[in-house]
Amino acid sequence: MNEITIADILKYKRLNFIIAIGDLHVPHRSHGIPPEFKKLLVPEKIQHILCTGNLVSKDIHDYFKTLTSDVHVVKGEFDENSSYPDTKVVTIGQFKFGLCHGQQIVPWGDKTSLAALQREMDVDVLITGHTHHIEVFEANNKLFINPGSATGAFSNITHDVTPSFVLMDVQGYDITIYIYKLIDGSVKVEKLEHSKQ
Amino acid sequence: MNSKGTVAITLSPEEEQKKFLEEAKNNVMVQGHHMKVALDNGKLMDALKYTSDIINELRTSLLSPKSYYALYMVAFDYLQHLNSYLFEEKHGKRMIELYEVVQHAGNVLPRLYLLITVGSVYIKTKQAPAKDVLKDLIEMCRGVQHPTRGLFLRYYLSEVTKDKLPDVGSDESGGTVFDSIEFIVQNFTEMNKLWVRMQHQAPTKDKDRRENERLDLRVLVGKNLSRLSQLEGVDQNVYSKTVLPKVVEQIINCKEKIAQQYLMEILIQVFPDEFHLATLDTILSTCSQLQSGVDVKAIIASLIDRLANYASRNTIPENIDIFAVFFNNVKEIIQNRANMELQDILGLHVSLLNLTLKCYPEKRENANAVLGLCQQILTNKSKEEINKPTCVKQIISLLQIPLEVFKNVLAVLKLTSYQPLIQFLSYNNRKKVSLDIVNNTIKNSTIIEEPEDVNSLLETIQTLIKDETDQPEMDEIDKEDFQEEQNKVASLIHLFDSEDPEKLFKIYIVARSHFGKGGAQRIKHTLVPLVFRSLKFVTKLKKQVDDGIISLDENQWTLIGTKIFNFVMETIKALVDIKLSELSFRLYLQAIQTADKCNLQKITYDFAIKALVIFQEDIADFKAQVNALTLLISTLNSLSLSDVELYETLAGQTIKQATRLLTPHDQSKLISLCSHLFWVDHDTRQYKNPDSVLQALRRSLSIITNQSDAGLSVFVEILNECIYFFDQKSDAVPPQFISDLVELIRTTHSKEGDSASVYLQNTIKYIATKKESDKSYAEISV
Repeated sequence: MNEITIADILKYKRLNFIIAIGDLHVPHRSHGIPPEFKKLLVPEKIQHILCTGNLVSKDIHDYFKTLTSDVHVVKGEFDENSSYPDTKVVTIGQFKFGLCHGQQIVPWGDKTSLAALQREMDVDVLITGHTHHIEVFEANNKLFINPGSATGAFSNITHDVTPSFVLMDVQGYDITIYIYKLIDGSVKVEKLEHSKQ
Repeated sequence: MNSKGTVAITLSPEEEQKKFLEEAKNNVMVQGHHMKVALDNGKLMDALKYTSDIINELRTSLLSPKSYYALYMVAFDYLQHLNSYLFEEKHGKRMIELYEVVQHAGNVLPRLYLLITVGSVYIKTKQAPAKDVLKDLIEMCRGVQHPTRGLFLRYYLSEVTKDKLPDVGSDESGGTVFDSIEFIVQNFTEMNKLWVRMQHQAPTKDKDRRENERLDLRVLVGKNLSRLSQLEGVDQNVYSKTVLPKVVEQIINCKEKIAQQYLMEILIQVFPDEFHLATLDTILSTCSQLQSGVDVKAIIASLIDRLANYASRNTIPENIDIFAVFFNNVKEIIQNRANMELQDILGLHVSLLNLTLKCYPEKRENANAVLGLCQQILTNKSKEEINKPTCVKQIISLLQIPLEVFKNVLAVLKLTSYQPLIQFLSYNNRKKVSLDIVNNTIKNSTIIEEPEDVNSLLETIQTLIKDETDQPEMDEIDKEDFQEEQNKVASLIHLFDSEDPEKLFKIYIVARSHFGKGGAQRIKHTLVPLVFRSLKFVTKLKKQVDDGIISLDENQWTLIGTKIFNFVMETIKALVDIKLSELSFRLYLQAIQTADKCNLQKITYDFAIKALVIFQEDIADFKAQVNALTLLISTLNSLSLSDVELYETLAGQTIKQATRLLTPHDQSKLISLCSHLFWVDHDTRQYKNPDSVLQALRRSLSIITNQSDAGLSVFVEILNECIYFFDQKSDAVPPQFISDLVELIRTTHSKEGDSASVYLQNTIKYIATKKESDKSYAEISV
């Protein structure tokens, strides 16, 4: 993993940026997305939002809509919006993204169980949340992403949650993954690469 | 009627004015032309006669002030021409002679215009001391008492002498600045009197028109004040001791509202801020003596705004407390002017508030004094008056300004008169202000650490917290807006924080008691964050105890922990009571996990029982049941609960619920998930019962196998559960069981086009891949 700056990322010209984000729990567990993140989430730079749910407030959905019209949300156990599905498959470029909140996975966040869900949804990238713990890993040539909680919301699963989300740049069969974390008031970014086989 | 039978043409008043003006202008231009020719030929006496004829046109009474002004401007040009000629002294006459000569002009108006023209040249050529000529001229002007003619004559006097007034640095023999002040003030006084008299010239029915026409001429009077301000010798000292008292005297004595209003505005406009600062008392006490129809508010407000801006650019002398002077005077003026409009009174308060916040940002008691005075005034006003849109707007400003300036709700709450002021507003406006307060707190992330402050904040925004007697019917309220508002209120909980656990718990109790009054529609929003904050709080407290930061023995901890969890339980109970079953169930599950982490097994168990009771009694929807049970299984799986007996009771209860689900599909699916209740393998607990795992999977499989419309998906799910336990090396599922299951699915249940076909293929592919790398898979055949 290399440390890179946000400026490095934003100077890209060909844009196919996807934000994976979730577990905001506003107002249940937080009063809002940290301003440090809001500064990064600017309209017209982001093409797709894949949200793992538990927003909870409509305000957050409206906010996503101001960033891009292509917003996909699955239902978390505290979302009341009945129009959110439990799972959703979104195809972007050469990749099939599977979206699921993750409260249905037993045990929560278990890699073996996630692998089964990946097989069921038949996707290249499986994005889930619920644990509030950011995690990106490859297994059986598939990519698994948990963007954590963008508000650093309290969790009984993860101690001292760090606010986080994930940005992806899809180019052909390659995905560049940027992990954003808010640590002591400053944003830290890590970069990872994944290729479809 | 025209007796000769031709058609009579009736002109409109405007057309008539135009006609009169054109005729007069024409005459002036003809005479003017003659005058110029006479001057060109060196015939000064002829020229003076033609000039008299020009001025004679200004004796008209037919013209409106506006038309008269236009005519005056044409005449003025010719007079200027004469003026330059005289100054060039080609005529060879001494000024004193000319001064004598023009005094013989027949009519008073031409005589005085000519006298002023010659007089100004007389001063310019320094053949006589300026002060003497000025005194002479101004005395003679008394000869014209017709308002319009007199006004313009004196304006002419003022125009042609403006560059000849004695000032600092000019020749002492011509006089001092005091002579100029005397001259201008006298002219100003007389002009103002004439101007005021103009309103009496017309019959009452024309009064409005007359007043409007009069307004057109105000500049003529006002010019005198700018002349005064342009004198170099009028410094702050001369201004306050000599100029201001005289000007103010005339303003007060004229007793006429239009004049007073205009002159006060001009006075404030033309003199510098420093002067006003030094004479605030005089200006404000003048304001209190103005006629009742004068818009004193506009005058004072513009003065306050000016000085507030001045103060933000400059340091104010310490001996002047601008706020106190304004505050006391405004208070008095409001008291003494019984007919002052409420919106104007409120407008003054807004200005005062802006003033003190700009000039004395630290002196918050000033702001409170303004709000207090406002409160006191509103107490004696009727609801109808207060609720006029213009008044409401000002009251809302008074409430918003401190929020915007302090950017800290705590500082605003310290203003004791703030909350009472909100109470004067109608329901919707109280709500609006309350929302402003909430949004401001969130936007500035103001952390509130004291229980008393939390109490005060929630009291201040009570319109959002509970039902009020004057609120609209629930079906008239926009549901989405209401939810958004309540979500905002709910967010506040995250800003209530304290390092002191005792204080923090007290804060939550205070918040609970306020939110508790909200009724079903509100508590579904506001109590949920309170539950989560309490869980976070108790988690942190436990960690601090474990880390030795807070020293509590086991018993003490259990006591305190139980107290907090009782609070949580009681809070969730309020949601259970309003039948928010699914939400309450999820909150209980959260509480189970937290209690478990806090090592309070009894409480963990109590919460689990509560969750099960809700599940059995209140969750009726099939899909909701499946979701709830799935969550319960993972919750139990995640626990560290060391008491095996308690755990097994809960696990047994859970399986029982799974077998009671309505459809065999759901039963089979959930029983298969229940296998995870018997295989707990994480850092804090190992609980492995391979026999029960296999038993659950078999049971699940037998339920689905007996279904005629079994479909494929549940089978593939069970297969994947089997693989899960196989991958965990649990020895719970024999390889043969998996091989048989794959065989069963392939032969009996796999149909083309089934939505689970891909799932099956991917699963088989997975097994095939594993066979290549994992020896244990060798025994599985697919």
